[in-house]
Amino acid sequence: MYAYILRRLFSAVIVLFGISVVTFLLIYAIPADPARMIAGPKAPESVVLTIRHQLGLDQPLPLQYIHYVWRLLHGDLGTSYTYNLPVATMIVQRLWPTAELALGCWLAELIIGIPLGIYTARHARRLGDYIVSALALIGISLPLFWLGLLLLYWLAYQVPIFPLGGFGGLRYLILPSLTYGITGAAYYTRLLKSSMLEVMQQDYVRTARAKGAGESRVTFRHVVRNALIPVVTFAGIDFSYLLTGVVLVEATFNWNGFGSLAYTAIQNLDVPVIMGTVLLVAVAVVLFNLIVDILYSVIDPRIRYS
Amino acid sequence: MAAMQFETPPAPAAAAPPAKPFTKKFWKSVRDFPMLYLGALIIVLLILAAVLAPVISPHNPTTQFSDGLTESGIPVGPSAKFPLGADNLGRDILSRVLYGAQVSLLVGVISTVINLVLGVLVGTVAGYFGGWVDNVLMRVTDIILAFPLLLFAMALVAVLGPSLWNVLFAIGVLGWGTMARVVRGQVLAVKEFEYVQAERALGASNTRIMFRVILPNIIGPVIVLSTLNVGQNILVEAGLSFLGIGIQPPTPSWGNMIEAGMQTYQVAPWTLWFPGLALVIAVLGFNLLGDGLRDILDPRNTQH
Amino acid sequence: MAEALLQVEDLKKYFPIRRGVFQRTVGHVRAVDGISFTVQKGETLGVVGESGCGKSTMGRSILRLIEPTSGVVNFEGRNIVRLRKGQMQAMRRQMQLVFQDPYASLNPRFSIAQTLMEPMIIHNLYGSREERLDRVRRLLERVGLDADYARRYPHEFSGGQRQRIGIARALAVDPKLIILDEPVAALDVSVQSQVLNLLEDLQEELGLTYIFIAHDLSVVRHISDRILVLYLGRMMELVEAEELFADPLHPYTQALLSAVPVPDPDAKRERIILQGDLPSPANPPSGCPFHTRCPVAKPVCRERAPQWKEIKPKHYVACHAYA
Repeated sequence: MYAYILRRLFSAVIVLFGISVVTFLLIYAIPADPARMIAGPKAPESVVLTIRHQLGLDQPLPLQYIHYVWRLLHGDLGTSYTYNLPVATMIVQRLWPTAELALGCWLAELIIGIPLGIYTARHARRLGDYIVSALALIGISLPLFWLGLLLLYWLAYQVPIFPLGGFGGLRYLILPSLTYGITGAAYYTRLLKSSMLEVMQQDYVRTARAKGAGESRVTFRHVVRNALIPVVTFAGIDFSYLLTGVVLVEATFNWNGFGSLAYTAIQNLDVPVIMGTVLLVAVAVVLFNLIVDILYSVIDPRIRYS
Repeated sequence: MAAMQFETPPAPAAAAPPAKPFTKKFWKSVRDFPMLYLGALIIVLLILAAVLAPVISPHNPTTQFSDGLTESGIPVGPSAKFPLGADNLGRDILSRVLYGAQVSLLVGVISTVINLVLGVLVGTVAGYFGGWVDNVLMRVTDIILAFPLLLFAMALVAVLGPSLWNVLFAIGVLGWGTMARVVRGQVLAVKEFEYVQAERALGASNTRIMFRVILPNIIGPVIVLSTLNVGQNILVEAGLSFLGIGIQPPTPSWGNMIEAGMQTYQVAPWTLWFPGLALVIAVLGFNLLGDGLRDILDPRNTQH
Repeated sequence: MAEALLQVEDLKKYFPIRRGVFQRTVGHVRAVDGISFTVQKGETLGVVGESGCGKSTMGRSILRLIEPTSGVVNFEGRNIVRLRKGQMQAMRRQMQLVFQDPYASLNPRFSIAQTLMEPMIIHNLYGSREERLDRVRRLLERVGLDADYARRYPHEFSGGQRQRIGIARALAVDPKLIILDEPVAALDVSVQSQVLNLLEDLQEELGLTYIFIAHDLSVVRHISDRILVLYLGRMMELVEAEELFADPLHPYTQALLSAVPVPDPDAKRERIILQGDLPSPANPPSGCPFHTRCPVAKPVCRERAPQWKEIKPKHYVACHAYA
């Protein structure tokens, strides 16, 4: 098992290295000259040259990359062109609102998705299953931002139960989470259903039934517990979707978090902030998947050999 | 989408059923796979809307009508002249929705073709050769998959400049990770079949084995994934346009129409409803077709 | 004496067993462990052994479908193990393989015509599509199938018919050597003899040379000129077919033979039942690999591997009982 974990760590390091190269190259892909952007459009050429030198932009590319990684390892993500603030500080400030939102969205997915999954598996090929499955398909097809606006229109404007966007307490969290939950829950519903149907075919479930265990007892004690394993791995993949979704949810609900930071930075071509946010998201995805894989290999030894 | 699980590649099937009259067979298959046909119908209508947009649109999609806005500047609701109402600049929403189908289909389909070509190439080569080739290609795939598509496409489009072709290119070049993974898994399974060894024993080159023997045998899952992928990419395009980084007004895209609707939906909710509805129906069409194809291609569902 | 077509010398195939973080090689599965023999032009060499004894690996190593670990494979005097990729691909025209499973060995997406034209296209034989199609029809007729089957797909055929198609595919390039890897093991008994007869007819007609791999002595009895018995990747006995049945020398061969049904109901025979399971080729027994299951094992069998010796004229055995 340690061999598997070490190998998995090793490949994660390689991927992280690749991610740092890609984000580093973003500077060169972006057409604007960073030195000119800091100096302002009217600054004399000599000032631009000085700034370029200060930023190390006149050094050879590999050397610049080494400096970049060196600074990264010390938690230095550079300084925003637009706000002249350290990118790390800006990100840390936005981290909490986004974490809160992401957690809310994820919980909403589970609260909607898991019970429906159990329901459809227990009523497979009956009317209830068909109705829920059709709704799930529609849920997957819904654009997050559009659903968000509809919910705002109905539940915040026409019937003012919730605030019209913004960041605050639980009241502000419900509509964005519900929006994400409706569009994302279907993945959990479908996955849990097919996984449960598979587990129900297993001998130990038949044995439990044969012993005379009640249907609910069989479902919850034997089936759901075993069927949840693939659902847990999906949470790893879902994390990446969640981070994408958060950008759209934040834009829809005016939620001042990490996603809107990235979004404004992209609009302003604020390179260090773009690099910092994109890098952070990618690193988070890699680490989250690493943790899920390792946990999974501890729970289910078979995975290590496949 | 990533949660899909594909069955092992096609094992040789049982003998074909006796021939029945075509119309009878058709209606039976509609009854067996209603989702598939509903999805196909939606997509056909979508294509018709896109192709016939210049003919069937009541108005030019970018013309700003003075009678499209009330005196206080609020968009007018659905009427004989504007069947689905007008938008915040007094343009006809129906015409814009019809023209929007062009953008969605173009971006969805072409970016999927790019995803398909890159994903199939990377996945096939990785799965077929294995070893260090597989290792390198799969790490590259991991890197691609680590960047959430929307965020990465946002950055790339911002760099390249927002235009239809850049949006399409960005989604195409960044979105092939899942395809590569699925294809690789399928190739790993098919490569063990004896008919692949037989081809090698005949003296066929690796390229011939990969693309003439293995590829046709994994085409089922590739088609299913591609179909679902079109829907996903349409959503990404809409998301980009909604954020203002995709298709730029006045060119109508359902995403930028929703963005425009955001300013007026409290007083004129139809500015929000119709582009969103078009988007949902289009994506639903591809999801229905993809799911239906998966059912049809799953040997467990074809009982004769 | 006839000319040698194929000469195999000390052929070995070890599969590495990898473990740990860096996938270090911690051992080897010795699937084929030093096999040498010669096949004459027009001859059929039967190769027999239990499943897992390395017969199939041997066949595929000779064709370099699996790269052998070491050894020499001379085909008409040329060592093909040394050939470069392009040369080897051209060489494949000379030597073909017929597979065991007629269901898995035909591409389900190819029609029969495509299946049979594939080798012609690869080796650029016959100029036009018409000529190739004509050749396809003749091939189908030659293996006893209707020429009109060319348009059909593999799933429309029975196992025996599919195996005939597999044979036709091997014939399509006019090979000199065909390795038959348990070609009838997956077929009904009634169909087995038909396919065996077809193979014999084709050999006579086309002057083919066969290596016929089987796990069952009764199948190879009639078609083989000589029979090679393998156990755990090593050679146990090699002799002419009739002699093997009349006077099997190796205790392992005797055990295999005792399992072959005899048509005479009055024949008295004691069935030798082998004790224990086939040992793992990753960890083969010391000395003679058969000693763990041999009814007449002596202490020396555990210590030293027996020499490969000609005990009687043209009758080779590796066993301490004849030292």
